[in-house]
Amino acid sequence: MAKIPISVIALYASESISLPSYKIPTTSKLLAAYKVIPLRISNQYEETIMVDRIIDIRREASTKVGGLGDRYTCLATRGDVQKQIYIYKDEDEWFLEDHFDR
Amino acid sequence: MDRTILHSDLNSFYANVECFSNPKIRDHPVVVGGLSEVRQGIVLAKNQHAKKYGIVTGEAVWQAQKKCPNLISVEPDFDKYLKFSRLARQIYERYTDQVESFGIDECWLDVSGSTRLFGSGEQVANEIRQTIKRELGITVSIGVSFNKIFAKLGSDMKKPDAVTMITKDNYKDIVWGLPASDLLYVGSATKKKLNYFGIKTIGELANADLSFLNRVLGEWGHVLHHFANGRDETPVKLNGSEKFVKSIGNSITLHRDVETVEDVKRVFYMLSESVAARLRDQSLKATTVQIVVRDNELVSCERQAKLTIASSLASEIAEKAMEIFIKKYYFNNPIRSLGVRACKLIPQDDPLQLDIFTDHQKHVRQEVLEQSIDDLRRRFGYNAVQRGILCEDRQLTGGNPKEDHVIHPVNFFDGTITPDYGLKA
Repeated sequence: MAKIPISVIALYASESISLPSYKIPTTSKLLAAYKVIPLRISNQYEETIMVDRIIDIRREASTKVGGLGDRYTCLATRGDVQKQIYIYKDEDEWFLEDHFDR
Repeated sequence: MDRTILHSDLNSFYANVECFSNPKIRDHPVVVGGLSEVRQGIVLAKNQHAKKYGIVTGEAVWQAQKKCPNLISVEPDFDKYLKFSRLARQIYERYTDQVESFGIDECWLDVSGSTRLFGSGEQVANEIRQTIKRELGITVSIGVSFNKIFAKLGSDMKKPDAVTMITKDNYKDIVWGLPASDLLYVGSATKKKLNYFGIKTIGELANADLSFLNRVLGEWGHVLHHFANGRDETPVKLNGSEKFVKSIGNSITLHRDVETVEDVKRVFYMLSESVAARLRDQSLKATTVQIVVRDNELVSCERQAKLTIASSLASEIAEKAMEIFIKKYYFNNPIRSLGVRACKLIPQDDPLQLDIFTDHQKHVRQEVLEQSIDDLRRRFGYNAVQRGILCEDRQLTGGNPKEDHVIHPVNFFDGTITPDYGLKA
């Protein structure tokens, strides 16, 4: 398996404030701690996936695809299907571990 | 009160980073080194599968492939390793501000002041080990002890992915049975001397007579005796304090072993250009030049000598390096790796004592020339201006050692004592 590159439209905070991780935070605290929240993602086939809710953010390595970074556990929707997915952000690069269909 | 010191050693660092980044090669024997198609390339690191075939770090990749025909060799990617090293360090900094690097993959941490917040040394070590595995996908071995030397010995003991405790109650059982060569700063020459006098283990070194050790090893006798008895009190430096530059050096493992003085001169000029440019970038001059020579049996030696006047000129540093080399090295074996280091640095603007024998006008003209070369290279690239000697063998001297990544070994004492432990017979 390889990283699935995606492009992301995200919300960025102008300042960062240090907060403890591993709590399940509200959007404003997430923004303050992690500076960026993904809102909508597009894969290489131009399919759009809307991020409905961020459940968790933590630094994690993906041994499946050999990548690491901030891992966003999200509830996301494509078409009529809503499911939980992981979105990774490694500095300026965003990627998925799995295709949305899997 | 006893300190709580951790020594963290990322296991088979380059190889594990490559295996993590590429899941397809994880279950195969992998080494990180040059490509065997161009014949040269040294094994820089090997993964657990490759270790089973008896592959040794430092041997040629083609030798490793003879031992293991289905070996996968990956070219090193130093940008990636520096990134992982930086991320590991950020994890250490969650527990303490006293984090001292010892190379790209090792760090000491002093968590004496953090135990109330995060738990005992062992608890902190286990938390760090699990966090690195979870966030970076690689493993680490950590030694926990009351001084830096024993903490480092601890991290060497159980690999991979383990924590070893060495306390005041158990150090004699755990450490004193180990070979004396396992102790930091006991290299091949010191080991030979100690063995000659029947001192083979750290325990025998610890119990040896101090005046005898001083006679045999000089000031190092006292230092090693202290280390062996767990009395090392060197502090773990505060994060960022090691930025003060005490020396600037460059070393390189060559594409092919060199056997002639002319080839050595070419390499010294290439390395001296990088060292001199970095001295000028930091507005420093060197008063001493040190060379490091490692042969194809991986035996190293270091020698140094004073410059006539303090200098940041590549030509003067290279000439001094050649002078030391010709005087001190006997070419018993072909050379695999060379290094040049500028030591005992002073600020560029410090006044210098002139003498009537040296042509100082020539020195000043040379300074202007080399600064102009720096400007041209900054604007048009490293290859815009080259010395003729570096064009004679592009395969040997075609790189840019200033910009290309070279990992610099770090002195434990940070320049206050410079051991000459690799003495050549």
